[in-house]
Amino acid sequence: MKLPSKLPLMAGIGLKPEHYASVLQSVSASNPARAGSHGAAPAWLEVHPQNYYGAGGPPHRWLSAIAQHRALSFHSVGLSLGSAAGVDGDDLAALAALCERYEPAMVSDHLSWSGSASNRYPDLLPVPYTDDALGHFVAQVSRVQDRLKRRILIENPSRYLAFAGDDMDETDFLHLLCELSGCGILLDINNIEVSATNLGFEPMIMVDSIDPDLVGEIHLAGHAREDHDDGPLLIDDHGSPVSELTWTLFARFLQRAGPRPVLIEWDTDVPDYAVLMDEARKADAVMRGLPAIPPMESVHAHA
Amino acid sequence: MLMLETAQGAMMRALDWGPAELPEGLFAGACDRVLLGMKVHANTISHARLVALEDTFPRTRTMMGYDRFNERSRRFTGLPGATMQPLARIGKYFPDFLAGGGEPDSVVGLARFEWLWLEAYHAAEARPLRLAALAGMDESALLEVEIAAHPAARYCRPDRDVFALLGEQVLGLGDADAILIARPDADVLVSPATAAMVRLLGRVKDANENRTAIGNLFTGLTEPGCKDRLPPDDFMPALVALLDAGVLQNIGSVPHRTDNRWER
Repeated sequence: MKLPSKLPLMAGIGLKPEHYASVLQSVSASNPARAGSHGAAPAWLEVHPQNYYGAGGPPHRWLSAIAQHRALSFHSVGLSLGSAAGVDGDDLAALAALCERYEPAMVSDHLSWSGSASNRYPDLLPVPYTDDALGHFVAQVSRVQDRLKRRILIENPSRYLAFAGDDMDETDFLHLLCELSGCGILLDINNIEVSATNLGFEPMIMVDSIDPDLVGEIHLAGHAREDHDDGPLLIDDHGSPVSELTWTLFARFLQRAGPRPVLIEWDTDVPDYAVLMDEARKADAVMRGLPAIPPMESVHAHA
Repeated sequence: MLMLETAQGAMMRALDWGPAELPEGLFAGACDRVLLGMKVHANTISHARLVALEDTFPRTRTMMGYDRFNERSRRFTGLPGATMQPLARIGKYFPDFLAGGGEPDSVVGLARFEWLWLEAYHAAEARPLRLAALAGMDESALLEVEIAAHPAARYCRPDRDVFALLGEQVLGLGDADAILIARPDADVLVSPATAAMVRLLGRVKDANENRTAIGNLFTGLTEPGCKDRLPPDDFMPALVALLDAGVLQNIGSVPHRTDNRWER
């Protein structure tokens, strides 16, 4: 599989339209080697490709300009890999065209489904962790990788529901998916906290069970909390700072994994650019506190 | 073994029709907790669709009032035609829905304008044909120049209230025959258009393969007996105004003045 370039082992941020000018100004003014932990510019940027499916216009002008200075990661929210009907051909063609246009360093999507081509749900819905679903996912991920001619990463979802008929847990499902399709894992540590709280499992056990060699990118984000009689419900709204538990889980995972490209996700109630960069610097600081571990070769060995 | 298709069919029915459709035993855990989880998904889906409509039609929302817009949006997003669109295009048929529901012409017209504005915003890039590029041409050369509509070019003739509303921000729009939407460079521009400009642009858009020579355009629009005939004296002013607005592009090989001919 082709890996056109690599994301730096530093913190990046999600590119939001309200930050276009600030991001371009900061990345234009800074040396990529001094980005992230040392400077005021993000080391890399992530976008939802579905926001760039229009043929042209201001979004592409901004993205093209920013892409001249920083590596991009395409985090798709629309392939609906888990849909029983399979990935929509038009959606895949649109993603392929965008990848050819920008040659992002990384492409990812989710371990989820979002309805069908005739009834789309703008959400990431859970899939049962069964052999049937695994076979389906392997086929769909392989189809996408063949079309894009690259390895992709699959993100662990935030879950509010667990199917009664699951044959395996999420970690086993992800590991088997990677083994059978050649994909990697985008490890969202906030999602682990959300799922663990909502479904009643121990987040540290899941963090410790993930094979770090498979993880090509990490996501950190905040969540909302509702308190109910039967316990708290965490909602993965990406609308607040990263929680203390997620920072702790992140540091714990890094002890085994070493530095990784880490994204600060903040999609609702988007704060000032400076606030986002503060979170990114915090992620970099956590990574700088680690002993030097030779990191990425093993990740790419799975490609 | 739980089959993917079975699980998803059950979830879709429950998301579309409510908790009563959720089969017992599909999910692990206490019933209340399962319903809570389904509610998170249902709310996320509903919220995303409603916000997409609000973002697409901000002026229409203001004109209708928040409550009315929200009530219409909720009805609309329950229709199959709406839910088969990706989120970025969910508003495509919303103006027609408003029209079918008996909303005032001003509301429908403003919604149509906003959808066209969004189409122009995301349209493909193309260099607009400017009047300067045609300067100095003799008549026969000018008539042979092939033109097409710029990918972002749109026009509409909404209710007069919409002209008045948008005219508060766009000079000359209050008395215009039509509204022209263009994106010759980075920004979407809204400007007034005469009936002749609209007729000419419409003819260009309708041309075979969206391209025509200026000479053919002139003949087709001004020959006696043609539909919507344009007086010959109105042709050039309309063409110049369209070039000024940046809604035309050159298909042939009109040299641009910035070209460095010494490089040949």
